[in-house]
Amino acid sequence: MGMFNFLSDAGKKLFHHGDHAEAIKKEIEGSFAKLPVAGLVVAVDNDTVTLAGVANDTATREKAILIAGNVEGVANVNADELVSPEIIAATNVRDLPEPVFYTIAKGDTLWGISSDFYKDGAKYPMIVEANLEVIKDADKIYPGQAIRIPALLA
Amino acid sequence: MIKITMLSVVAAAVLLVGCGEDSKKAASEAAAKTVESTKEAANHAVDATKEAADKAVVAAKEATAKAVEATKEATKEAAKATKEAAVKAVDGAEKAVAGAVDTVVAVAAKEIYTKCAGCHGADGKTKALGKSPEIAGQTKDELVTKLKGYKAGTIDVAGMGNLMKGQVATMDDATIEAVSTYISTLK
Repeated sequence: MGMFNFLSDAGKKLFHHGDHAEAIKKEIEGSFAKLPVAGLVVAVDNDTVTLAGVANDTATREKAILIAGNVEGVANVNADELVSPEIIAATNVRDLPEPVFYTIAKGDTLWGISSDFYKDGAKYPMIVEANLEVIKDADKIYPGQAIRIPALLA
Repeated sequence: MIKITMLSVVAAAVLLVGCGEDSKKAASEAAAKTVESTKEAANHAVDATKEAADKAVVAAKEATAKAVEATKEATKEAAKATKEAAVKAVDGAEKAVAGAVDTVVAVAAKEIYTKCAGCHGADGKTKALGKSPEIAGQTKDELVTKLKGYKAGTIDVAGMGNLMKGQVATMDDATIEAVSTYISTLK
């Protein structure tokens, strides 16, 4: 639930011409092997993107938010109406863990990020795995790109 | 004495001859009569045969006519019965098809509702995300109006208008009607 902030001057250049909302919808749906969000609705209001629909799972929901946020020109993603089965099942939405997003800074490496969050740089493939559709290519992360940091399984 | 005897013999012979002539005549007459009567009898027989044949032909004709008539009648009856049976069969088939269509629509609506059930509950009594009203107990007309409103983007209940718009976007009017009918039956 909620609003997520992104750097609007970094990211994939989709806002050249045509329908911005349609471009983001295509970008999200085209990033996954199977339709990630049932009945995905994308609305764009200046630098704020609103996403709505039923995501296949919470990880997919977070990835969809990141893909929209990583578009150049997008500063906010409103995901109040983007739900997942976990959110639907939760009797109290506030009990669900908030997603942990990290915005890549200049000079960052996946190893370094893994060391910071997991105290173990060698666990960086977990981050790659968790952002498969967001990063797309582990050698091509860029400053300003937002990624998800999954909780370590105990 | 001998003469007398001779005479009497002759006389007898004459008599005999006479008699023979008579009988010849009688015989030929009788033969003629026989021929005549045979002819007549033959004629009669021929006539009788002819008559019998004629009668037989007439009878046969009549029988044939009757048979044709009966066949015609039977054919008519059969045609009528077939027609009736066909009409009944068509009627039955139409009813069966209509029933099958209803069943298919109901099954399809139930199938579509599984998507709704994720948030609204299988019995329609879950307040989706803790925000929506219960959808069970609403009438079909209310539901159709709301779903069409969501599709058009003119309705926003509990701030979930966009979410619902996306869920209804692919439903045509018939699907909206069918699923609304299904939801209105939830108790």
